[in-house]
Amino acid sequence: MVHYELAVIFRTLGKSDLPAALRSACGTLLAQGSIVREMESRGERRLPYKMGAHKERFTHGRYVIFDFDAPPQSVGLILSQIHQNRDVIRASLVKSESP
Amino acid sequence: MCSPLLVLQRPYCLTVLRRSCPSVHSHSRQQHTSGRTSLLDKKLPGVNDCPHNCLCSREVEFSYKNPRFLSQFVSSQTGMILPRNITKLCMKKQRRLASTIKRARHMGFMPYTHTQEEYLSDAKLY
Repeated sequence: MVHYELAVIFRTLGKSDLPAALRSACGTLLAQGSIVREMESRGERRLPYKMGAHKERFTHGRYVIFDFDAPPQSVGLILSQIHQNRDVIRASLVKSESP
Repeated sequence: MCSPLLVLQRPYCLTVLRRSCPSVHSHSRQQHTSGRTSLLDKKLPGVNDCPHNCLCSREVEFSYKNPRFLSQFVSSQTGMILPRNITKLCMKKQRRLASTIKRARHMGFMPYTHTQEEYLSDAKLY
């Protein structure tokens, strides 16, 4: 089990759509056998540059950082499934800096 | 015999080599640079005279999640990472900072070509 961080930028979602999006992202993580420690929302704000995803361009997004432990073999699967999610603008998985 | 080499580094100009004693190779260069002494003595805007390393002395940890902190080490006009002679960091910290900034940019936390407007009024490094 390796400690990872997944920084996801979701598209601007309404109050009803956001929990569903977060739940699906968490579900992807849990399905691959990871233990989610923390889910931190960094707020909804203007993106530093226009980003393209799913044949659309985005200027605003919501930043969420998932803190989790996962087996290193599942990283590829997690990323590919997160990228397929239409609510996700950008997702990056990095090894956590904290021990 | 020969006085030591004076290497002056300015961020916007090419490095100017100034030898105190003329030799065959640098004679022409010395003639060329002697007229520029007054310009080089003036304090150009990109010069940081502070002798301290601001990160090592305070044991600060930085990460890609803190673009406000990282934006201090980036040019306010072009968004380029400031060189070591301006940031005054040791090689280790400078490399780590540079890779953290590149990571933040790629992950969508920091812009590539400018600094975010909210951070422009923050305290400067120098």
